[in-house]
Amino acid sequence: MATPEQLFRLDGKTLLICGASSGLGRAIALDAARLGAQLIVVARREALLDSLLAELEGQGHRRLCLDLASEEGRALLVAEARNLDGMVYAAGSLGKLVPFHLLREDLLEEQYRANALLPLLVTRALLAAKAVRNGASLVYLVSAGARISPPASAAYSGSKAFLAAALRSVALDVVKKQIRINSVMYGYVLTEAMQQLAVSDEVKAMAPLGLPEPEAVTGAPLFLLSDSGRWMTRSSMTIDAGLTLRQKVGI
Amino acid sequence: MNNRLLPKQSLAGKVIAVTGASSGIGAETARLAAAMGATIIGIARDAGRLDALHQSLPPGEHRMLIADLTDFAGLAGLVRELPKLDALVCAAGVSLLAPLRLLPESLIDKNLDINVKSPVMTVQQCLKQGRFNEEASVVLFSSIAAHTGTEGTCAYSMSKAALEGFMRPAAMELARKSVRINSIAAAIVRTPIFGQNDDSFFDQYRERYPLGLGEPVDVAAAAVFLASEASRYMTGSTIVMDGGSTWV
Repeated sequence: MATPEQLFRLDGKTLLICGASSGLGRAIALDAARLGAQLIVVARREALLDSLLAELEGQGHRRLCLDLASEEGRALLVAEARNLDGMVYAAGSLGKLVPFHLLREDLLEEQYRANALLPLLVTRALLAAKAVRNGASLVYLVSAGARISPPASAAYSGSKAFLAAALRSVALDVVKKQIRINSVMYGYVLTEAMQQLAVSDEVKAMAPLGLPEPEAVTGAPLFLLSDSGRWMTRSSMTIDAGLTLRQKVGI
Repeated sequence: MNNRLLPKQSLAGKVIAVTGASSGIGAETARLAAAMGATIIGIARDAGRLDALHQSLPPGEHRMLIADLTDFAGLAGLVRELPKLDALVCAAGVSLLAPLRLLPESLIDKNLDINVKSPVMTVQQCLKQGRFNEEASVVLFSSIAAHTGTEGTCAYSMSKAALEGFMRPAAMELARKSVRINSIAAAIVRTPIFGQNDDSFFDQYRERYPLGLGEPVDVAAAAVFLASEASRYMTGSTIVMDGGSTWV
């Protein structure tokens, strides 16, 4: 039988973490390094990347300061990221809560671009450049919003559902190489970005298990990255503290 | 750098009861959890196989309980024998198949008794008797059959769908005690539950799953993940683990 370490650790794996400078991406990077992975951490904010790099356990990690939204950024990524055993795509935009009749076209497009098109474009670029090893695990942070679609979030919820649906198809296109593609559906997590969003305390209090810090909810992506998740593809894991179980009373 | 698991992944110091522990995914989960430091309370009917499991576990304070979990009148007494639990893994189950036209009532009852009533009433007794530690975790075994339409599986599929139906409201009630409950909906892996020994039975499924046939350890890994603190804040959810199966 495989040992627990062989199943759950990440020794010898090279992982790309997109959106590593803060929030869930940062928390996942720190734990992945503790489990023996070699990381390539990607984000726009250089100072935050440097401070992350200084905190990562182990040797040989690299950082790429670039903007995935630009073609040059993606070209640089593909030039630098090679032989990947996995990726966590944690970059995205929470946008803002806008009632649908006030939702401007540019806001809608911006969200779709940030949360659906960019992860797909980055994935396609990496696959086309053969930067992803056979047997690799690609993990995308989606949101429980993709399923529950709260009010005033048509752009955000739609963009996440778009990504989740597209990824299930991509998973079949790459399965011959034993590359696995899964998503993680998070509820509210106490990230900086979430705290800037004007989510009411009443809504936050709806999750029966409360609101987690990012450090408390890294387990699912780590599971999917490691060999423990080797029979999972086209699937997702929901970590929402029970938020999506109950019906809201009133709008 | 050490070469260990993260503290939240480890099961050191945890007490985990596993039903259906004498074979298949139950036995695999018990062995993996014990290797990760857990003390196992193995529950099953077959004394000989339970003893074989006990012998295969690393040294510890493990205990084996011989019990029939469909003896519902005896469940309260069984749960009284349990220590305080950090996790309850309900792995006992059957897969009894027949086409609808030929499906006897007794087969419907057996699927429902073993796959639904038994875990539901075990969880209920643990709750009533205060057997869950703070932040304990309950792990249920659903099946992809709960979501798919495979001929001949009417009674089995409805039992697994019922189990997932139980899980969601139970998650809300258990959350008041900070207890979590989740399920795993796996496709077919090679275990004795199907009563099949020949390779051809499993080979037909290998071709249905893009990643091939799963191993019991794959499902056991998901079970120990759900039992551990690595899955904190996860409740009322189902992990579908099916090698990427598709229905189109």
